[in-house]
Amino acid sequence: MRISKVTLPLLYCFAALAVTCASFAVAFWRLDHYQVVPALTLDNLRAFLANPASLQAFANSLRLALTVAPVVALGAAATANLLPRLPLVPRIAALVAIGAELLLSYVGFLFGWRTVTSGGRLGLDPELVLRLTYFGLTFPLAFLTCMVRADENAEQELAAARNLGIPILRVAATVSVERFLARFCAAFAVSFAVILMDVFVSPVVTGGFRYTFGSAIVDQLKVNQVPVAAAMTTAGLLLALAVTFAVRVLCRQLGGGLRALALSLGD
Amino acid sequence: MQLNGNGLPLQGLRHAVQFSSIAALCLVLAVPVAGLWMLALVGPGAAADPAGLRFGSVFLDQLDHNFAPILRSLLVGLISATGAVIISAALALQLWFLGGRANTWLLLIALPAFLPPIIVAIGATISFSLLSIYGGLWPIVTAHVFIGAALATPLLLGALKNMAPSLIVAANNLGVPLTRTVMAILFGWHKSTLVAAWLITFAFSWNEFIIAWFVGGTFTTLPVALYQSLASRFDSSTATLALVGWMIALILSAAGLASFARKELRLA
Repeated sequence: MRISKVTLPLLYCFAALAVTCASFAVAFWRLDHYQVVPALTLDNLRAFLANPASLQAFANSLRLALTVAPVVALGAAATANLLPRLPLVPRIAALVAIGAELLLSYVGFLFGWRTVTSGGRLGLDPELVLRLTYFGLTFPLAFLTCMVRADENAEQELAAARNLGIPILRVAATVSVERFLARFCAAFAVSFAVILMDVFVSPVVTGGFRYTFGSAIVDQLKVNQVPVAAAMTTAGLLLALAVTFAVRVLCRQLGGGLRALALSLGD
Repeated sequence: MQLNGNGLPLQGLRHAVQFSSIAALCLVLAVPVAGLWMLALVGPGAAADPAGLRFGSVFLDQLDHNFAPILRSLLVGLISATGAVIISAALALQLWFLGGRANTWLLLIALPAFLPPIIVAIGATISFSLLSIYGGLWPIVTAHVFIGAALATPLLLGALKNMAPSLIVAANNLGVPLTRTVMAILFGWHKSTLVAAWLITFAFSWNEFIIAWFVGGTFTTLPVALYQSLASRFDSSTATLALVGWMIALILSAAGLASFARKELRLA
């Protein structure tokens, strides 16, 4: 029997999807005598929406994600754009810093931040500490996402445009901005989802200054309300997808507008 | 707008932006690392603590105290890294044959590495509980193999793309069995890439906390033990072990990336 070329990738993707879909499916199941029973009910979602503490946690995490993720995405996209133009030594230093931070154990990262900021040592507002921690936590991943989105021919295309005498502003508005926005969207999606669903940053770094969505999900798991926790995870994932889609549409509109403006100025 | 000879606007502004972005990056990295050093050497109160001067003996004490979690982490890391590299080698070989269509598949395969860990952790917890598996070594290993393969496949595919897939057809036409050709490609040409992928997935597994915390149950790995210890006692001696553990992961990953980079440079 001849094995298709896509059998293994298909199997791997199917298994990954099955694990993600497990929480999606259980969100519609019900709990019967401490056992999860297959059903098709919206009671779990209702239980989440009827719980003021969970909704408050959701609002807290959403506010944090909406304020921090754009800054992270902007920084990551800008760094990814600048990095190839840097001299060798700073480029290697920046890559080493990002790599080391990406590898810094989550536990080490949290307790390191806590040591520096605990007891008002730096005199910073706890809200700012929380935001800075999320920035540090998600920046390397957002940067990596930007590098995955990197276009190998970008530099050569820009050089060719310059050699052909096309005005730099027109090149920037038509090519560079579009690439920057594509990287921005990818970095935003990753950092938004991670911040929205994070569990340990608030309790460890700020001593639970803000009750976050991830902590609310864990609390539901602790009292064995697995379907409610699954419903909350699904709601978070769907919201992250919806916000990412909205940002992508906005970025496309912005990119299209700038391109039209640049072309009209050129004519 | 003032333009320089290359048509780039305001060279000074560009340098300022470059400098500030790298400075911000280093600051963001410096805070947690400095914090861990402070915790390990000085203690949570930031007051001079003689324990800081006994770094070696504190480390040995903690090593003895956390011996079982260290062994468990080593076991999880060894099995996960080996499993992830085997799966990612098979995936990379199939994607290599796909040519231009490989990028879409690669994006789907790499997706678990970019998802928030809690989604993978809760999905895995629910999947295993549906199979009546509650905690232990294998749930952690399975989840780590998935994420490890998502990390290692792009690395291996990147290396394989330096060779033409027609090589396999040519070898086949010359009568060389497929298995032997594949083995020669993987363990001959791309041995250093395999080592790099193994070291990076091992470092990931060694450091991974959230999935191990959710699906591990009573099977406590080193990051989970450190979290429990630091959250309850927040003492400097545990931080010593956390710092050393991170440095081990960093050295392993740096060795892996250096081995990969050397191979890429040689091919270039």
